[in-house]
Amino acid sequence: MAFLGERYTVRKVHARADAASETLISTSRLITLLITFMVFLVFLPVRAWTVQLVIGFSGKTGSNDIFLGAQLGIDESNRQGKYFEKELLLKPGEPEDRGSINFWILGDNPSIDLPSDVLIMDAHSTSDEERERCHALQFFSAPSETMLARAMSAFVVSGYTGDSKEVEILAWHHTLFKYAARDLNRRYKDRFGVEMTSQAWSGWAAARLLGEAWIRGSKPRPDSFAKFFLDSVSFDGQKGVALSFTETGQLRQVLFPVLLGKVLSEIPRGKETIKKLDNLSALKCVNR
Amino acid sequence: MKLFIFSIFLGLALGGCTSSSESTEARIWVSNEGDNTVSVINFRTLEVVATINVGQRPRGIGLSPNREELYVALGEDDAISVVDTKTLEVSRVLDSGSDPEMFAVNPKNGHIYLSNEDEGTATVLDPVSGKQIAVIPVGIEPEGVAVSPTGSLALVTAEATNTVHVLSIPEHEEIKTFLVGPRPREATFSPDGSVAYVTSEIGREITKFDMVDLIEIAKVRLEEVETKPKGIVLLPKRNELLVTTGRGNTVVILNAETLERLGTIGVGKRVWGISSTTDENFAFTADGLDDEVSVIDVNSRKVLKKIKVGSRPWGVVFDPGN
Repeated sequence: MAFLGERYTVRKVHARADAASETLISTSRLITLLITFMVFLVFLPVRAWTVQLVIGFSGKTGSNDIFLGAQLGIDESNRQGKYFEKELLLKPGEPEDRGSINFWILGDNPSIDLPSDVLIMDAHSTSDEERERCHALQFFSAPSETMLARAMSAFVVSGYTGDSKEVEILAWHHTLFKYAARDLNRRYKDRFGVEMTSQAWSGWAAARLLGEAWIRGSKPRPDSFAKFFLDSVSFDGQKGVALSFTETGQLRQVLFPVLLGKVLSEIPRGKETIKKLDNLSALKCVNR
Repeated sequence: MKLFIFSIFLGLALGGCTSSSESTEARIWVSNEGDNTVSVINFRTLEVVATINVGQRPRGIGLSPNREELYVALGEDDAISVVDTKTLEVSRVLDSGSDPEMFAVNPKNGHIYLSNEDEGTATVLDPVSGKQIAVIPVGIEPEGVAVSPTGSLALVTAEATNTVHVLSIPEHEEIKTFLVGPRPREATFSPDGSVAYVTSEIGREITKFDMVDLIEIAKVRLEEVETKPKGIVLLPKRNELLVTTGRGNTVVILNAETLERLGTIGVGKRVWGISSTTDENFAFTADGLDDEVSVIDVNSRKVLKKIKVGSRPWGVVFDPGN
């Protein structure tokens, strides 16, 4: 028994010694880890702390123009954001993303049922009705039906003598060159190998607008982005004038009458551009 | 009668210049984007005395520190054309990298800092050896470039990312990036390099920076929606900034300290580049859609004369001569 007792005692003593040794090792490991972490902090480049915002994309992907435009817009926002520790990630939407992503670009009619408390940048719809609903978190980068119709009227009134039925009003055209449009057209073609269309521009503008809001300090909340869009955005859409949103969430923008692949003019043009842009997109909120 | 008074006024103004040290060989150099030339204007007579074919799409224009050479950025030749200011002939052409638009010359060593709009880079060129010393990635569509009078910092504006990149010299490392109003176009330093200013075309803003602490210290937004701030020149003795406004067709005068607006001078259509005499009494603007240079009397804040130059004048630089 004594033997057994001794062994028991010895085992206990050893057990105490092991425990003390483990405590010492744990403490030294902790200190080592702490020192390593502090050294890591000292030498870590400040810019490593990039904050990422996920943007959902609802609509056709692949070679769809709006999707391509949105991709370029995200890339260019990230070229800007890398200097300010901000990043955007474009994620084609799945139904399970509904509850986890608060910012969406629509490239088509929503393929999934999005909740009402997310911010939507619609690059597809031209519906007047949707704009007149004035949802506080819904914005439109594509021109509305009314804008397209009014631009056509303004073009005809400006003295066009040809057959206006053959003229198309577009938000963008790949032959545009003024106001650095040529540079944007070149970047798009270099990236995707195809010409930039109106739909691609709307997708690009949607992504760049979200990027501007994020990089210029909006909080990662839909209401913070909406406030930025309605109160302070001054967007360079490479159309030669600062673009902003109307109360309906419509992006004010210059449009282009195009005939047989040739841009004939820009609407509006000349002085009082903002007033004319308002006249072009003068829908009112029905429910506000 | 008005013409008579104007003639007397012009005579007095130019007579005043004749007596200054700037008068003898003083010239105004103008790049003409539309016809690939540089117009040479005699400052005393305010007449075009020569037109030089320089190459495709000349835009940015500037002088070497000893003013013996004129540099012109040729956007479609991917080159800097070097003009001998005595013979008025192109002496050589430097490889600039793709699509050079604007540049600044380091006053300390003569190196050329230029923006490559297509590539999103800034290139540093040694005009003597013709070698590229550095190629530095910056934002998208880089445009305006300024080098501090001390030769220790360069600023590059990037139009499509709304950024201003501060580069250290000679390391050519980016030490700071400023976020400014949409489409920043040009930048300029104060004579001691402690302050810099940047114009933002679409944002209609002029932003002032403390270049010691590298912080933004003031900003002003021009009210008129037609104004598009582009060119900028600082008149340090007057403590004033002159800013061209593109299709606003004006030059706006700001207090350089407070950015308070002091006045507006109507010039020609789509006014782009601007330069001033070293005595700060006169300024010159490139009025792109009028094919003219406006001569501004800074004291009276009036245009004294408009001079026909080549097609679509873009940049302008005053050369005080020797």
